[in-house]
Amino acid sequence: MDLENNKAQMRKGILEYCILSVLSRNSCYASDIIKELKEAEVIVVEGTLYPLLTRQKNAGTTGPSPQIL
Amino acid sequence: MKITVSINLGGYSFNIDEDAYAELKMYLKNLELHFAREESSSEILSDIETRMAELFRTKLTNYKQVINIEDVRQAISILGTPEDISDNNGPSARDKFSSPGYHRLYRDSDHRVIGGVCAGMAAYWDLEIWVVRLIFFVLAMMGVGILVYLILYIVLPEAKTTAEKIEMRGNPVNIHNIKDSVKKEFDTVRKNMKL
Repeated sequence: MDLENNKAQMRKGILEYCILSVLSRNSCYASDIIKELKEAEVIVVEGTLYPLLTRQKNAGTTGPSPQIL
Repeated sequence: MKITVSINLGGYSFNIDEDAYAELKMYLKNLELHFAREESSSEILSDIETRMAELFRTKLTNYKQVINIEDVRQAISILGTPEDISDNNGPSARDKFSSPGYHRLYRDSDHRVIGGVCAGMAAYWDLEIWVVRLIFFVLAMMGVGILVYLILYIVLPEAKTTAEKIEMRGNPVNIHNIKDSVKKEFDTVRKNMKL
């Protein structure tokens, strides 16, 4: 149980860096990030990403880009 | 032949089968509960709803204009149930929530006459609403009731979400109770439509 929890926490921590690394190449839509992470088999369901993106946006590490808007 | 319901999801309007509507509503309520303790839960939910709307729009053609239960299930499997999401999300809001006897005083605006303070207290202590109202009326006659009511109105939060309404009645917030209250809501909607 503890091990499972640790694994989940690690995956969660890495996921945030994955989002940043996808975005560091190019700004893109949330759906593009989802597609890329799904292909890499980092995430299984899309719902995982939305809370992270919102958290990152509020922390100021990611945000809407003027080019896309 | 089936009855359809018209919904607004992420700013788009969809016609959706009645059974699919029930499933979708249950799913969104579950998500709402799952993210309830998250700081920006409404934002997360609206993101998910928008994505859901995108997925639905790809399902519609000239020959198929109604979302059916299959479409809803498929979209849910893509987006993930709260259980799937929490797997990657560490300890979730639900753990804190489902502790037995989580019981809070709220204003119950569903049964309100003025601000729902009396209805909320009645739900909290499991009294008949008229008893609480009578007490307040007597207090008001004595000159303190109105002030007390005003203070409580300001201090007590309104029970807005399903989770809060269940907390108000003192039932543990779990899938079973949510299912019950969603079903109750759904039955009211259906009754209203038939009238």
